[in-house]
Amino acid sequence: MKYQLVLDYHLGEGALGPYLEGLSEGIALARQCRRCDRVTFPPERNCTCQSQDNLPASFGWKTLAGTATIVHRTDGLGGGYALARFDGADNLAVCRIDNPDEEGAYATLLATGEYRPAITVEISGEPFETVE
Amino acid sequence: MVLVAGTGMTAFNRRKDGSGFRDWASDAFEEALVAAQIGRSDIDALVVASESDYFSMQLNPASVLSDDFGLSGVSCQRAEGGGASGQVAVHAGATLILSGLARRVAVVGFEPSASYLSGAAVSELYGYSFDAWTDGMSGVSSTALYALSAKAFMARCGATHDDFAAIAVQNRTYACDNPLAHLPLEITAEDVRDSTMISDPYRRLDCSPLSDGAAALILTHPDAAPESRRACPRITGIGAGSDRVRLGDRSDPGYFAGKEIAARRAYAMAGIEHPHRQIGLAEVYDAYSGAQLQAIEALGLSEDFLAEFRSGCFAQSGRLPVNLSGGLMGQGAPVGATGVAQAVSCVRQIDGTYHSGLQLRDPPRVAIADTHGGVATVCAVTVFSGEAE
Repeated sequence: MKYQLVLDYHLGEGALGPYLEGLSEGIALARQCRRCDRVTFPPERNCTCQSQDNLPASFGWKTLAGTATIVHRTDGLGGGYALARFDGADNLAVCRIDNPDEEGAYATLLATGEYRPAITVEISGEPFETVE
Repeated sequence: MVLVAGTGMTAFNRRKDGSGFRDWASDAFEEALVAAQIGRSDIDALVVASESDYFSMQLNPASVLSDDFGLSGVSCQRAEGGGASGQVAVHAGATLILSGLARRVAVVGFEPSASYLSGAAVSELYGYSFDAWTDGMSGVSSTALYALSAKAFMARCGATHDDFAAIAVQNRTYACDNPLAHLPLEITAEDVRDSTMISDPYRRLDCSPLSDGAAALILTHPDAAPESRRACPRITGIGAGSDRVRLGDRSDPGYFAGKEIAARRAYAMAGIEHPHRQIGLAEVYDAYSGAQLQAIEALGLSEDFLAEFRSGCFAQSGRLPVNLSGGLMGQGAPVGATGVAQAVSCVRQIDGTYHSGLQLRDPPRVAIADTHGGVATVCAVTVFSGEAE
């Protein structure tokens, strides 16, 4: 029997709202714990120092340069993905590689376009210049 | 202690006969009930394992299965933990007995992962079993996430794709002696290396298939089993644990820390102090070939897991055979049924009633089943033992 179900979600972005808005514009907005200063991109909802009560007031937002170093990378039928550390972040991010034919250890964040929730990066063999 | 009085499972494959998950679940349940030598009116609780309503098009599946099984009136619930759903259900069933809330529990896992939806649709849905906001909606596949974890594992411990290919071959070879297996393949490491690259280092033959199927257990309190089944294998330890959901938030994305926690808890409950010496068989969660090696490491099955793997320690003739069923890669992976089927394999091996080509000549006294959801995020380990001396 054939059966089709089409669903149209309207998802609440909640605490991730600023981060997602930043991604859409190519801005790396990280979350920073006010107590231990740990910076996470993508943002963690609770800090590893576990001293916080997970309230929004326990965290602030910090804009990173948007440049990153590739730690591990995989390529295949679904495109290229990497675990990368963004400069200034204490965790790693799973990133979609926009130019998978390119080899290199460096990456910079791109505006996400249709892949809005994805951290999308462009790969380069040389570090990208950043504007401080 | 909880007795496993009866086991049942269907073939794992891609159904082409027009049957549905309710048919498979009923078949597995009836087989387990007959093996347990009790009647359906003796059952006082049902625990159903299924990963996703997206796959089955049935919310609240425990309600329809309790009715299908003729169990109306029993306590019924669904257990879910992604890929770990089957073992989570086993734990829920055992807990009902250990707590005194039930004396005879049916645990039934099922999933129509192969024939209901296209492979592409199932693959997309699997993406939502990780962090949907940062992983699933980005389009990253399960294979890519496992591949990134494997890369970290390989970089740390020196494992190579040759090791992974050997596992892919071994598990498919075992599946050739398992009449219920989805992928009984006579392949070589070269075949694995020549198969399509899905997500480096994983090629097509490094991946487990999408399968349909069901599996069932009848668990009882030791005093509630028929006299004839009181010497049957038993659950002596259950343990669960978890890890950070996103690979990038883990201190080592290549290490299955949640699995280590789950195993330590299960071993402690079972009184196992030296797992590499006391465990005689393991069914581990090999969603991908490398994940089997990562599991062996985290489960503490060896003090030098890579060297022991390469020396054949975990092969059928080795010290601690792993995934003689064929594992997910060979036997198949109907998600909710997977963990329950691992339990079926362990129990039948201990009982000496497993498939003839795979039954260990000296049945193991202790066997473990290990599953996880996500990239080893939700982890569940169960210890099975033979009759106490």
